[in-house]
Amino acid sequence: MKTKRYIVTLISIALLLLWIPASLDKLVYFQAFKTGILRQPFSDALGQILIYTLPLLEIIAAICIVSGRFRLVGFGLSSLLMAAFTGYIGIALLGAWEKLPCGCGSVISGMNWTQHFWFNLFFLASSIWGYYLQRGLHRNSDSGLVAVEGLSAKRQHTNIFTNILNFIR
Amino acid sequence: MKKFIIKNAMALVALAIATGSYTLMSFKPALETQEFGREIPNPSQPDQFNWVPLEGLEEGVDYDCNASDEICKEAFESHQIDPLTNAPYPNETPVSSTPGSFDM
Repeated sequence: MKTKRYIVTLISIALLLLWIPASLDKLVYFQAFKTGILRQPFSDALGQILIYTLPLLEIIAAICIVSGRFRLVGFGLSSLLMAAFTGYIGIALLGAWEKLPCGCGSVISGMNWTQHFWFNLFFLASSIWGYYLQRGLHRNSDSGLVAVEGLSAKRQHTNIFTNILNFIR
Repeated sequence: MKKFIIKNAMALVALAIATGSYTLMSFKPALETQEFGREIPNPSQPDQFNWVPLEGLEEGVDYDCNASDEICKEAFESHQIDPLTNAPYPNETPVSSTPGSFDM
């Protein structure tokens, strides 16, 4: 249980190290990010949506991971985002497009597409692992609460039963 | 204080990451100074430009350009070359060849 908590904390920090600089980079160099997205081989309409939704989703993922209550949502959102990015790079590596411009942030701008793919795959696996570990911790804490409540209910029931017996006597 | 740090450890880590990454970003050269992989000269560096104004060149006044003038010659030549391909522009046919004539 303690080991699981340590792993969840480590994965949380790793994901924060990914999402915070990535979203900050997009916001600080917004014009460069916008140009990079619009150069990608999909429609400009989708690009316009992604320009605003991507940084927002990354910030939401980071905030959810920081908050203990919504960490599960944060891991889920991270997994979905990383799955989308990894899938996109995977399709690009398969040669779906002749040339794919990189709209990468400052953190990973030095990587080529293959390195970028493995980098994303590592974070995708970490997010999924974190999600399952966090879900297990949630379930354990929930079942723990039920056990405590059950114990107190039993005690309460015993007390009532004893009181009734005493009353009859 | 210690209790506060332990309770908000993850938020403090996030804050530290945000501050660190923002500081690192400020060292990154601005993208606006780069265009197609070439460094645009910085006007604040006096070595890169000769800011000596031309004699007789004032705002709102047409400069009397003579063919023998060195600057006019350079300007004329630079206008004849496509800056992207470094090839001369194809010859354009004049709109009106005869002075005073009116072409439709």
